[in-house]
Amino acid sequence: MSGSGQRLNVVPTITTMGVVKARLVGATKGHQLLKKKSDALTMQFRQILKKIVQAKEEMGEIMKASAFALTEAKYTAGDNIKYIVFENVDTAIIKVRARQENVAGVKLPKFEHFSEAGETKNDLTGLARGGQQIQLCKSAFVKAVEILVELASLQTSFLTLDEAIKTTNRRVNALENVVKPRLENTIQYIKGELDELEREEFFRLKKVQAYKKKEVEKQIAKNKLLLEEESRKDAGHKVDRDGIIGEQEDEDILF
Amino acid sequence: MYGFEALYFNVDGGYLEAIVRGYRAGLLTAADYNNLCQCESLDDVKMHLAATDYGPYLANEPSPLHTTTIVEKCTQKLVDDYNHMLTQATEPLSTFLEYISYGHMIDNVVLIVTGTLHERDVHELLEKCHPLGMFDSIATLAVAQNLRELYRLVLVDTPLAPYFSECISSEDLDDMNIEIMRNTLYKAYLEDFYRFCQKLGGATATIMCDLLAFEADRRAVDITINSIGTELTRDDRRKLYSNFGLLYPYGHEELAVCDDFDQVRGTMDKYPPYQSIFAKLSFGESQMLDKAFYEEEVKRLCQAFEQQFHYAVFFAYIRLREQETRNLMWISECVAQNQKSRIHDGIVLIF
Amino acid sequence: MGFVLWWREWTHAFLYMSPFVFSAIGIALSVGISVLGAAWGIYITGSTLIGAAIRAPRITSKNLISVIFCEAVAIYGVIVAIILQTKLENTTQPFDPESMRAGYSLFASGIIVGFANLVCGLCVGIIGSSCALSDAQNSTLFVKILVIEIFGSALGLFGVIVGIIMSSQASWPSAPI
Repeated sequence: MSGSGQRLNVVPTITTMGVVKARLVGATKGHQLLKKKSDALTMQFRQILKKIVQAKEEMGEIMKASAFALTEAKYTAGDNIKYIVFENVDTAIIKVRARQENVAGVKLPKFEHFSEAGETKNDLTGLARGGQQIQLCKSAFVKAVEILVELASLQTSFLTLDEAIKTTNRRVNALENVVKPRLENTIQYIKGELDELEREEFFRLKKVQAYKKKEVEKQIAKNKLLLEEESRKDAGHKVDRDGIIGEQEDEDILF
Repeated sequence: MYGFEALYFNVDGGYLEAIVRGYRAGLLTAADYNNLCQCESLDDVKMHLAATDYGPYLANEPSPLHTTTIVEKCTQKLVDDYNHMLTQATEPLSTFLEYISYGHMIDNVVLIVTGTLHERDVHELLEKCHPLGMFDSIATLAVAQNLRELYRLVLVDTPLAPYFSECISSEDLDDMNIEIMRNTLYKAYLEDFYRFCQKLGGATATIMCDLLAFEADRRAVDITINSIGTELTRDDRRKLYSNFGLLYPYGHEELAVCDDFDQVRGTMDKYPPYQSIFAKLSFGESQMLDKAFYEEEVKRLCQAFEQQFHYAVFFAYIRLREQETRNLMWISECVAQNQKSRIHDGIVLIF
Repeated sequence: MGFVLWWREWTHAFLYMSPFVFSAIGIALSVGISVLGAAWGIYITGSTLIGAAIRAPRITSKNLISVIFCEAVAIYGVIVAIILQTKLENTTQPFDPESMRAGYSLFASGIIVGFANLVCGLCVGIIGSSCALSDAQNSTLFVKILVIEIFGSALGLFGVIVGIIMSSQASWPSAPI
């Protein structure tokens, strides 16, 4: 059977058709819902994409500025300044916190930074040379960290959303292109089978009727012949007829 | 015997003076800087530098060049020159040359002490030290937990020992103290160097004392500006100024109570040599001050070469090379970061 | 009073010294101090020249001129010493005023030449060292400094001229008539 992939392997009965029809209704409903979700996600996705592009452009500029601030600091305070700053650091001042956001049932991770107050080391670094540049460099990099955290948050959401949209779309497509046609085909098939059965029944009835008719006609014709022969025998061959009857009676006798 | 160094200077110093002047001829000129500013990539920079004294140092570097490599090699060249001169030098020139390196030595000691406080690996720290300020026992600095121990175990054998006497009082080491310790040490170093130069006498004393006085004044101004708005008290600030120089003592009193940049400017305007520096800056702007000071310093260092038969040329040469390394760092960073528009902001032309 | 006596004794000492002693000391000073000046000048120039030539080897042959100028100072001393020495004649009357005059003039010319050449040698040496340094930095400066150096080396010649003139006045009394 060529179309077996396109329909379910069911016994074509009215009951089955009822069940399949119910399933089709469910699938259509699900499809609509998923489609809506997919649209919502796509909208969110586009928004995030826009934000990412913006943030990336901004990041390019900020990173450039902060790298250059470092150059300036190194220029005025000497090349070793970065080691001095490194060695002065114990723990990070700026930390990142993660939380979740729910968009149409998809959990998106969001990062946000916060700084631990009271950690103002390095204040006197470069006291005799380049202290201001170092402070400028510091604030430039803090800004860079902020934008990086924002970008990281956006990127992760982007990836998660991408995955979610793909899954949803796959489901939508699966419903639309596989499940629904299959159910429809099944219904079609069951309907077709049922029709076929009906037609067969009708034909058979017809055949039976025709046969019956033929039999009746045959009987009528026979009767007619008998009648004619009788009438003829009545006229001339009455004996024959009696003879036949007598013969029969004879046979009976013979038995 | 002021003015008669010419008669006897060359007995010990003539050869080295000629050598250091030879090295000076190897400093990059305005034309070189012009060429370097046209560079599109670090490989171009390398190509231009190949024709200069740095050529042999950069020749074997593989092609994806980094700024740090260039700076490292330039420093290497400076250190090689310095060591060459130091091995040739006799007293008192050798002591003079050693004095030049004490500044870096202080930086290294402070770096290692800071690193040790934060429990870093000493060998890692040693790699980050400035090669000009290395001394034999530097690795053992890590054992010290407080200043007294530091002094007793390690520094007593180094030339820095006398400088610690001033800041030995503070018992514990924390980040604030370390930066103050660095500056106290540097102050003691500058004063000691100043005294040493005065003892040498002659043209050396005249020129070196002028250069060191400028350095001391510059530090005083920088410390003032950088400590505005920090926890550093006025008395502490006052203690970090070196006790010589043009600003000593009345200028220091005025600087110690300054609360913003314009007050500093007001103080400095009373000193004609510094008035011109501050005149270049617009009001309220302190960003370009460092560069203005660099320019003035370079000018003064170059003038040291105008006179013969004195030791200040060695000091001037080392300082000019350091400035040149800074210039090259700036240029290569600008080239690498594609900030060609700012390239002229950081170059201090030497010739 | 004591000073006067002391002074008279000393001047008497000069009177009783043989003029030949003065002449010989003059000759010795002339060559000795000149060579001292030349040697001093040469080491000042030489040490600088060696150092400067490391970076700019081209300057060595040119700057040999400075060394030669210093060397010339020693040659002046030698020449004058020879001239003075030819003036020294034998005489039977060493304490004749003429003899005394000859002895003093040879002594003086020796001092003149010696010290003139000493400072000339120093001068040329110092300029020579500067010349080497400037030539190493900028070769166009060489000729300009050479001119100064020539003027410096001329100083020695003044001493030589005066010394020769002075010594020419020396004459020794011949045998008594």
